[in-house]
Amino acid sequence: MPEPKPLLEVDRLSVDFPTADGLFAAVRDVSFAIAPNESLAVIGESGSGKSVTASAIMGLLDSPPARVRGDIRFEGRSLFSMPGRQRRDLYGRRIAMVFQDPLTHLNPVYPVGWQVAEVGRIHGMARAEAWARARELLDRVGIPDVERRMHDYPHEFSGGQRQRVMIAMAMALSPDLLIADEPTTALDVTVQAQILDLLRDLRTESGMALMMITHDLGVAADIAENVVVMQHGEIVEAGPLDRVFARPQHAYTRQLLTDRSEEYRSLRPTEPPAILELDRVCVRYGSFEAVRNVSVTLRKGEILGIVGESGSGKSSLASAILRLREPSSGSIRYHGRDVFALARAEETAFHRGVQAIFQDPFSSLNPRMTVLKVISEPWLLHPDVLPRDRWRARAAELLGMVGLAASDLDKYPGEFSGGQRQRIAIARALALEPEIIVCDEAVSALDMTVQAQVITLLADLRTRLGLSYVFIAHDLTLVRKFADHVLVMKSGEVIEQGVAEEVFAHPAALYTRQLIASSPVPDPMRQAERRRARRLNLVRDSDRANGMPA
Amino acid sequence: MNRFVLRHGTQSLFALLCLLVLVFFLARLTGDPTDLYLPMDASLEQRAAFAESHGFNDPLVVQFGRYLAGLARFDFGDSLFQGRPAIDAVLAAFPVTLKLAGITLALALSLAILIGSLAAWRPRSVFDRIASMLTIASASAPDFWVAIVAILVFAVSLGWLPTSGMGTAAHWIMPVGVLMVRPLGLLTQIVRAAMIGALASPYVKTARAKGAGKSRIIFVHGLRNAMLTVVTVAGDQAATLINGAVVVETVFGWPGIGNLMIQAIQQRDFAVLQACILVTALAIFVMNLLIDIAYSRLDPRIRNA
Repeated sequence: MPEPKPLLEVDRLSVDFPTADGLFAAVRDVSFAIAPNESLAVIGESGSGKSVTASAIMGLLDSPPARVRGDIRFEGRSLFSMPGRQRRDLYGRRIAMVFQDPLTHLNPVYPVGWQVAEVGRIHGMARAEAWARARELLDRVGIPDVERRMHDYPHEFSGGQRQRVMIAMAMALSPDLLIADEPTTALDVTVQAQILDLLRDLRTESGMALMMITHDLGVAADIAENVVVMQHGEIVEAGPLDRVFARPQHAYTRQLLTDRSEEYRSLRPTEPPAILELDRVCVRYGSFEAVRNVSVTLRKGEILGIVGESGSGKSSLASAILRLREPSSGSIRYHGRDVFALARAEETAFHRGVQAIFQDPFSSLNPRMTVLKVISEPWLLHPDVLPRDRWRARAAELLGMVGLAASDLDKYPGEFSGGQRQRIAIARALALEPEIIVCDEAVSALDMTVQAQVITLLADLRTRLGLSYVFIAHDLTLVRKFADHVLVMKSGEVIEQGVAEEVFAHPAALYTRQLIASSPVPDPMRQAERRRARRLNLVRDSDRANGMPA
Repeated sequence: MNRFVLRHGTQSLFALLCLLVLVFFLARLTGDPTDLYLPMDASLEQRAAFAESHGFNDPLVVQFGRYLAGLARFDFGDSLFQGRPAIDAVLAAFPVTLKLAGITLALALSLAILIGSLAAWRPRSVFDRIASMLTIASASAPDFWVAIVAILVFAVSLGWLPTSGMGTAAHWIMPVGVLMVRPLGLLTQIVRAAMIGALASPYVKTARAKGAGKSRIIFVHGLRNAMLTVVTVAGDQAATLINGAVVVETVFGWPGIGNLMIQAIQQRDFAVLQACILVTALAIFVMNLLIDIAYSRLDPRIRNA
């Protein structure tokens, strides 16, 4: 078969950014091509240069400060040497882009219909025609009640709907190439699956080429035919997705594809004592019931995974466990004592024993405190734990435990990467030698390999220190690998709970099955199969909702 | 919206009452009007008669009660100096100030949007640096000093403009120019900062990816969002201008409310002073209400909240 003429060619592209320490090479000598109708996944972690490459294609790099070399050609014409007016004519009309975070990428002060119609208006469409097209597209991407909703503003839509609006915007003039930069990363798994389906359908309908940038191998397996793997600004491997996933050549690709589930399963204690017991816990915000009747027991050294979509009540449950919000009914017992009826001394003991790590390692560390101060702050509040002259030594020891160096003590949080900051947060949580650590989406914001490192660290600390975790995540794969027990939540209720392996292997509830089916796996064959199963499931589900016999 | 107005109204009413108490009693610390209005050699009987006829003999609390009772009937008392209802004097002066403040704010805002947006388009460019330097200087210039220098240069040395009073268009130039100096500097800084923020935001990236040109990006996407911040500060400035015209009005002999207030203090004309403050406070309350309404019109996220 003759090679089709490429739609887009990236030719020896290099992008440098000047920094205080000299030039930072974000993209190095990257070349690849996308044929018409091709679906290409660009895989890599944040900082691997994949988004910078996309920005270069879309003309979104400000140069200076960015220094761009090489060439990018669209249908054989160089985007760099083309006059600005011609290039702008391509953007939005021939090449379109969908960004990661639809909330910030939609203009907050204009109705969504206006924003979709704007693409047509910019490219010379008459007003009425552009609006009619917007209506049609919003309807196509699945916005309900379009006639009314198109006059609503971005904040009035859910995350998934906003991404649908972004996609409608990108599809406005039927582009030949759609660049999607992590379009589903900010979404729940079930919504992610819907968005991926939508992208696939739109591609089939319009025959456009797709460049999907993702760090999620499962997403790549779901949608792409070819794959480019990037690391540190370079392409380390490229080829057909089936081949690369089945027989990865480069060490980095192999590392990405390694299933780590076995590493996490260290020694499991048998029938240890219960340390935290939740009995029919309900949490209300005004008249809204965020958590309904949750009963679960956490034993020493055990990991309890709580999974569910956003809004399912996971975080409300966590704040009840942390004593940040009193349950409206039910009880939480720590070593048999109701945590909301503790004497003063017991309260201190509770706060020592139950620590938390939060999702965002960027905002949960005070940027004006050194690492030493961050870690030793708990000792300030609990003066009997450690005499002041031993703080530094103990903090260094804790840093060592989480894989950082004693020399990091005098640095500020800003000097660390996301993964390192999360390690600092773990060290801080360990400072009081707790029994339980509540991890609220503690690794969700991290890259996959960093995620794996942090998880390995948590698993290791569990074995060494006998810690218990309440591990909240929306990422099923992660919980499946890591947790002993699992709690599946939906709209505040427990849908299913039990031993993790059993729940995942034989999910009893339909919702759990859907969650599992929606979570993509990095295997194109299995992913295709799961997609079919999921669609079947959804059909059955909607039948049931419509009162039809199954 | 009605509940919103009502809540703000009640809050402001309370604040107004506190203000009235404060002004009423503080004003009386300036001294006894009797000393001022009667000749030096007036007899004790004459003084007593004067005080008696104006009610200055009663205890302060009684005087205050009488004042409040008057207010309830929209009677603001009579001016000692002008011999007419205080409110008439205030209502004659207030529109003059309002016009001065309105013109000043409109000019300052337009110029600030223009200069601030241009400076924000290429931060750290030569234009930006010069604009930033000048606006910082103007935002921190004391207006009495600027006023005096302006009179020296434009009226005394060059003889281009009249020193004081109002009548012709030329009379407006210096007061407006001087009054504008600080809000212009401040607003330009605000517009610049807000525009830099808006232009760096992800939705501007989206606009670029749609193929939007420079003017569309600046005015349709950038400025519209930046205005949210600017309106808040501009409203604040408007309130300051309404009562901050005191210095400028005094220096330029402008017959506005600022000037009237100063005169009322000097003449121990309590009724006029109280009426001035009452009207100004009311104007500021209305101003704030307008800003809040404008803000909720501008930001759909607040409109529905």
